[in-house]
Amino acid sequence: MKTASFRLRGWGYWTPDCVVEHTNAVPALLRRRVTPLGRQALSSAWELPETANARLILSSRHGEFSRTLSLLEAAANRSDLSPADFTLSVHNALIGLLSIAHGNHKGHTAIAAGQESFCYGLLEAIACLKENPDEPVVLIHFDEPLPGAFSQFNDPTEQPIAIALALATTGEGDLIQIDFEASQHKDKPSTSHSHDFLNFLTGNLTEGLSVGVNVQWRWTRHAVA
Amino acid sequence: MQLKPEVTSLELELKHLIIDALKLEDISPEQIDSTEPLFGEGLGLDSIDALELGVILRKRYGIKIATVTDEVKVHFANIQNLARFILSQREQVS
Repeated sequence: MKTASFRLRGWGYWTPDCVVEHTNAVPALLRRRVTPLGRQALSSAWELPETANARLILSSRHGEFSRTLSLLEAAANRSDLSPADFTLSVHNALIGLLSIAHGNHKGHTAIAAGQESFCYGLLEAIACLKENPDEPVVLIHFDEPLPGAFSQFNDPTEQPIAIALALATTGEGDLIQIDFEASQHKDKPSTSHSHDFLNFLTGNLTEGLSVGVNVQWRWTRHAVA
Repeated sequence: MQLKPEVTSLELELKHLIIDALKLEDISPEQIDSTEPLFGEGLGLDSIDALELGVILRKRYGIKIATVTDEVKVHFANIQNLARFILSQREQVS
């Protein structure tokens, strides 16, 4: 078993059943370039502490796939591709925009790791903290079911989510410990690691378990007085 | 200077087109002055918008812009110039 920990300095999220709308803190000229899901991801991270000077990690299984789909459809119809869509058709586009908007020069990493994208994004964030304990990290994770003709490739359990976490080694915020090891319940994997983690946060739970196909992840919260 | 009626109606059409295609959701056509700069100052569009606009004009009006010359930059400077440019291209075709 491996163990790691971090301070959760802040977090934001969006799911379709969110009753509270995010304020339009993201500038209109930036917002217009981003898909509806991407907007929620940007909004979730926008006002976290240190977003302007944290190392940024993006994790997503499919990225902003609705944009990719419209490019593919245009190509299939032999019509012109949208230059604006094309320039943003890379996995790290969203945190690229976020870093430009915040004047953040710390660099960023974009991860896609299938169903376990959230957990590996979190692992990458913790590894960055280990490498540079003085530099805060902001993790942004988002996903939604694949649209259109690609929906046949969806896992039936995939649900839309955007979640952003601000991590650091010191400062205020709960201490979250992560233990992970080879999965012992491969036959019964969790439906969504990101939703599992969100439930752990919103429920203010002391412990959460999320079982992946390869790795299982346990989160423990140590409230700090 | 009095503008031809077809120029002003095309200007309004272009404003709607730009707002729609470039997703300027918080701007209304009335807020765009036909003589204010589209890029940089004024409306604040960028080089990606210029490319997007080129594609849209080709789709809608059949205008082809092969290379970006100083002349093209003048055509794209504001709504009024763009409307005149489109009309002049139409006259050449007809």
